[in-house]
Amino acid sequence: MMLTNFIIVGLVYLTILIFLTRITRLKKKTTSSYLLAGGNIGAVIGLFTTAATLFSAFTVVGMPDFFRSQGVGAWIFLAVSDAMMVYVLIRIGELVRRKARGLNFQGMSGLMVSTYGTKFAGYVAFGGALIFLVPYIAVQISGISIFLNAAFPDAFPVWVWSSIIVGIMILYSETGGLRAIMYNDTLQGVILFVVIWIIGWNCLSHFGSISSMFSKVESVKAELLSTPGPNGLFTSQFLIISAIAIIFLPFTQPQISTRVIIMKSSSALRRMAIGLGIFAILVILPTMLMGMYGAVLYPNASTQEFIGQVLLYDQASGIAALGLIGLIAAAISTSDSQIFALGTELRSLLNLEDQKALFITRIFIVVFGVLALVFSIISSEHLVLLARTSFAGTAMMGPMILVGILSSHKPSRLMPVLTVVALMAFILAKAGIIPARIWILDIEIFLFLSLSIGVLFEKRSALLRRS
Amino acid sequence: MSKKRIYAVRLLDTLAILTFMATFTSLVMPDGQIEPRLAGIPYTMWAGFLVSIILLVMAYLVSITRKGSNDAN
Repeated sequence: MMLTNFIIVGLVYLTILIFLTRITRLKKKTTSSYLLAGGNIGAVIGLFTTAATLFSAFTVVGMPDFFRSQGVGAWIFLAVSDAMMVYVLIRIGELVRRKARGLNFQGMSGLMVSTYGTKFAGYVAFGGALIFLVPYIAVQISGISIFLNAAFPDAFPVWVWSSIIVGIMILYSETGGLRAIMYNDTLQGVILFVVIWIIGWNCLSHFGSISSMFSKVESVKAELLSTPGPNGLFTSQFLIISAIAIIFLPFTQPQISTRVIIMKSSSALRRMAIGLGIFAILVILPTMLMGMYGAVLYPNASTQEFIGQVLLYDQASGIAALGLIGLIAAAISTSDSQIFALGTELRSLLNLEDQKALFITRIFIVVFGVLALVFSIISSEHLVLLARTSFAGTAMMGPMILVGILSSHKPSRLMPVLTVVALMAFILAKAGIIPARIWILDIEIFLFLSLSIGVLFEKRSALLRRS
Repeated sequence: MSKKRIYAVRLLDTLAILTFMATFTSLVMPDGQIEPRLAGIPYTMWAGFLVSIILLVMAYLVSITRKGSNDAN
């Protein structure tokens, strides 16, 4: 019964995807039209595409599980950080957008080459994105495929589900470019929003009211209702590191920074940012309801068992099918944008005639997709580690990117060099090769402080050079 | 930008940073404390929710101060 419903809902979803891909199909592809969607995105499309790109499968799977196992501090972890991200996006995003457009933006890596005047800065930005994004995409794809395989054990093996998902993404990315991705993101953003609210509402209905939900949670595990939570995860340091990583997202994750820069006007950017903040709160709220439901009904279940229950088996079969599509939509809308953004980053480093550069880029979009697929099939512990630390890892590039864009002069090589050192130290610490704590500080905070000192030093030497 | 607007932006920046920093102190997340509740909602949850709404309102206000000043492409 559920398989039939899933096939029906899946076919409707695919039909709309094909329709959107057809109407956005580009006959003549140029860097501007294909990779940057013409650079004139309005507030509404901008909002949905950024929201769908930002809220990955982690929102549907990870956040309810975070609330269930770590407690209400998960709200501060994501919602407060997202709200501050919106504030910073409005304050700095405008400057970044104007400066980037003035420098003929084609991708963040290329922009770093022009602002720092050295290819090294561009390679650092591209390398950082590649190292952290490919594992993130791979883990998302494998997570969804394993889940689909568990839901329909007789249908396909995991690798076939992964190949279908990557195939769909590559197909519409290659056909319509960024515009097709944005329209499909809009569809996926709406699906994600509707699905997560239906399921969240059902979870709340189980208890009857918010207050009875929290009193039930208290009777099961009272530590879930305060910080640092039952496992002591939500300490101030942990939440500050996460907040820094999230605040930097619009500048350090190329799939989001591209969307910020190609907004058609500053006012469209501002409206998009405010809408994004409202969307974030409205999406995180039902994940809290799902998490509290899980804390009472499935306190000892594994993540997959819990998500299986809350998304599928505790729902009517029609809703469960929609839930699965919502999960796929959340994963696809983030992964397609990340694969495409890696292509855009590569293009911005190529000094070739436009059509030739675009041809190479399109080949590499397929290569990045296949790479993510292969990694998703042979998913290893190291890969999961890089994916889990993806946001904090790319955030290490934040100071370099902002110094490059916001400086009125050409900065020295100091920030790119410091960023490489910080990225290496971060990966080595996560792999357990060097200590994860320096004195009382977590390594991430220590590295961010070091990068901040680098920024001050760069600013001071710029003043000295000028005088 | 007029002087009034510059002051308003500076004030909002200061308030936003202070609100954000206060989130990570016992003002919003006191260790292991559930009370005082609001309509049955534990303290850190409703205080955290309030902080996110306040930050969004400040983001909206700061977006108003930028209006018309630099909308060029």
